[in-house]
Amino acid sequence: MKLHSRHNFKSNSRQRLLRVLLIAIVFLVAALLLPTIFATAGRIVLYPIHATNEWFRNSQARLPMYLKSQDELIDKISKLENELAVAAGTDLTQQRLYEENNWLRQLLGADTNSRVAAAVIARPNQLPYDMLQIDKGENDGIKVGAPVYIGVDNVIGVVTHITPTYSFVELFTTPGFTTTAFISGADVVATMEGYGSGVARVSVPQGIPLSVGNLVHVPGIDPGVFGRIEYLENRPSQPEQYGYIVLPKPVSGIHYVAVAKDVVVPSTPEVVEERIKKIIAEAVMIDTRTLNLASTTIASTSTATTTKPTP
Amino acid sequence: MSTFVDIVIYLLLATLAMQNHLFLAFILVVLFTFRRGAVALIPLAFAIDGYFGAFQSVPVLTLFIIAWYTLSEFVRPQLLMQYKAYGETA
Repeated sequence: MKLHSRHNFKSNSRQRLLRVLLIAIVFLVAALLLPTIFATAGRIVLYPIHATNEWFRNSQARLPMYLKSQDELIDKISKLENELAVAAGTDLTQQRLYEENNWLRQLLGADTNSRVAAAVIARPNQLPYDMLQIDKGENDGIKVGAPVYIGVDNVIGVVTHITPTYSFVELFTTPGFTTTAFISGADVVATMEGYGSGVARVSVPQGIPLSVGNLVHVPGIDPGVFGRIEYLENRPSQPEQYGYIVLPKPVSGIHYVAVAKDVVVPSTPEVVEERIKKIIAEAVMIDTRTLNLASTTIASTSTATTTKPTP
Repeated sequence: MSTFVDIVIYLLLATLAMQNHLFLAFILVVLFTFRRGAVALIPLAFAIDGYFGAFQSVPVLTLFIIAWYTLSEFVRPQLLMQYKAYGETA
């Protein structure tokens, strides 16, 4: 009897298993064929649990706040620590940039206070030809005759009129503005006159080896490089040849300038001559490494030539 | 009381599965199976897979529960008989 009942139990159990498996497989196939219906049914059936979950997750009530998982709090702490680390890094970056800025300013001589930085507030065509209006005036230490730079030594003009709060700068390219210029390369002193529209020209007698690319200095101002000769007008029938110089930056592109606090004082011929000598000395100075390389090359070439076997 | 505990386990199981705490859910699956059998877990698996849209691809949870049910139906009678035999001798 006992064996019989055990056999019956096993048989019933197996039948039940097969029945459940059959129903499950039928439902599974139906679910795979009609996933939308089963998805809707799943959402409806599990809606109370979903709503409870959402309440626990998003509610600010006391119980959910109390029961919020430790993982979530650990994640939040980790996220905040990351944000703090990023903030500290940003602070370090700012400090590094600040120090670098100070260092570069020191390197460029920006802390000597020999110049005043000024923004250009008006330019051609709001003003007459080749004039700039800057936002610094007498109150900031600007004086009439002070040279105006757009780089460390790139002089473009002088201050011609000041008010307490703003000034006017006349560029070297203003028509009728003449100044003495020294042209390195040709090593000649010539008169430079403004030609208008950001162009100046130097005129030198025929026969002087003037060429495109020669640097034009204003020896009355130290430092005072004006620019390079960009175009050469040389007609053999004319007694003079002309070199045209344009501003290093277009007038419309000049937004900031540096104005020297010291005005241009009329230089003596001796001073000008001294500066010209200095410019020439700098021009003829050859880099020793280049010189060594060149001499080595010449030596090796000559050796190769002398050791060539004669036929 | 026993039925109430089973209902709580069932609901807790559904909640844990929905929150993706699968390890804890598996422990409750084992517990529930030995208390009530795994048949009741099959509709729950269908509902959860439907909720997550798993029937668009592979309904892993449903397949796992069907396999689990088959295994438990083979193992559970043996265990129950051992339990009964132990109970009788004791």
